[in-house]
Amino acid sequence: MAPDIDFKRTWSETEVRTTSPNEQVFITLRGDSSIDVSFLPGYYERANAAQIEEQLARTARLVFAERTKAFFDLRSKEHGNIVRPGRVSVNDAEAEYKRRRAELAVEGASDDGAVTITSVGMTHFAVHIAPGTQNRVDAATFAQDVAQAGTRLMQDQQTKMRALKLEIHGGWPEGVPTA
Amino acid sequence: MTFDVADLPGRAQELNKAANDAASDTFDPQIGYAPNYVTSDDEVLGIYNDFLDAPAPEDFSWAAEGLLKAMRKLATSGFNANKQGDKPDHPNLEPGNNDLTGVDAAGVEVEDWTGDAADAFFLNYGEKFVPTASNQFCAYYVLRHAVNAEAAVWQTARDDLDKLSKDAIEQMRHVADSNQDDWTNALSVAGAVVAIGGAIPTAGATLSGWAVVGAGVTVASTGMGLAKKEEKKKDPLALANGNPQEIIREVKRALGEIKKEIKSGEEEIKRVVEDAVNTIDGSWKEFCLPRPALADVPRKDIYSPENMGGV
Repeated sequence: MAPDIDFKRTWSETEVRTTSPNEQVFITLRGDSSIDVSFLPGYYERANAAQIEEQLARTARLVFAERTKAFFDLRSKEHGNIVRPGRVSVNDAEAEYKRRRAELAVEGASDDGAVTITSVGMTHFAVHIAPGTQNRVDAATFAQDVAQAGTRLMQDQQTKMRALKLEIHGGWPEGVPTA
Repeated sequence: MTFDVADLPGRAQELNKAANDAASDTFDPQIGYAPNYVTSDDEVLGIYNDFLDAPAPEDFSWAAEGLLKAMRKLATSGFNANKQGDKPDHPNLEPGNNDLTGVDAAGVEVEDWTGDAADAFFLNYGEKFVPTASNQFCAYYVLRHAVNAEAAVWQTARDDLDKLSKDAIEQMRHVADSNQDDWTNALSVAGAVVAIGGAIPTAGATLSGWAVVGAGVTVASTGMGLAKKEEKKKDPLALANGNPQEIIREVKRALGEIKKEIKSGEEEIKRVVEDAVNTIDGSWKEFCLPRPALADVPRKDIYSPENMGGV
């Protein structure tokens, strides 16, 4: 058997760090619950909102791709053989699950409303910065806003994925009961 | 090293723990457990019970070794003692048994011996001794490969059980993940079955015809032991992994496939051995020389005209 590892603990401590295409924005994911965002000094003040939105969205896409790779690297380590994301649907339920997962829309926003991040299928990302944000908050606060919005997006994704999983694979003939 | 089926209960326990953890992870105090996440402890813990007494390949070693010893005594020339799974480019050469030439040499030692008894000796015994030994060698060859094929069936069955039971735990641990992997299981038992057919000497005896019987087999020329192993390619099983109950069902389905492959292997081996036995039965004289009449003559009468031909 492969070495015994505490998968949940190890994953929660696994860091994935990605740099934006223009090398001005940095995002670090730690497991599925913690996000750090930072900017190269001066970039936040120098760039306009549309440029920052684009770089954040592109970096989000990159970091979640890296996150998936890191997740399956850890699964491979746990199993002792190479494990990679599934591509094939064995039955109709799996096909529906994968289709709806790819279409799943999730969202996260900061408390102050400065940043909203949306995603479809965790492969397409859009970032919206509220007008006037750069005049209202400094770079450090804005970075925290982005991290908060990102964390909430991940929480929204986990909640909806769990609901989708239980809806399709849970086994309730009439659908998931309401509480 | 062969997987020990004694580890299967432990694997079943790990599988059951992972199934219960998955059920707990998805438990909602207001709506309870998801039906498909509830599995039976008894069912999961006993899932491998049919395989707990599966033989080990080593269980057949003594029989295969005994047959090889017989082959060494019956080899009229050198031969390759490789078996299924051995590398063809690393032959395990064994010398022929020079003692078998002694009967031919007897003709020189008693060359002055003439008469009906002498003619009968050379015709029925001297000339047939080496071909008969060679045919017996063939019979042992087939039996040894059948025994080795039996060991190979269980070896590959154990390999399949090892992989399946490990993969099932991994699948169950991650059944609630949003992004799962494709779960496939390529059974390997089929390859061992084909190896029996491929193990038959290609230039000499064949199981169905055994055409060389009577002529004797020139062992070295047949390429015996250089088994032409044609692995049967099988599509791997695609197994569903959407929820714990589905994983347990799929493990059972894969175990059923392993059982089918074992049965198929056993039937193939049975067919091969029955063919060989029928061939031997149908050509008994080619495999077993008749007992010399002199052997039953009282010693005091051995030189009488009717026994020694007047010599």
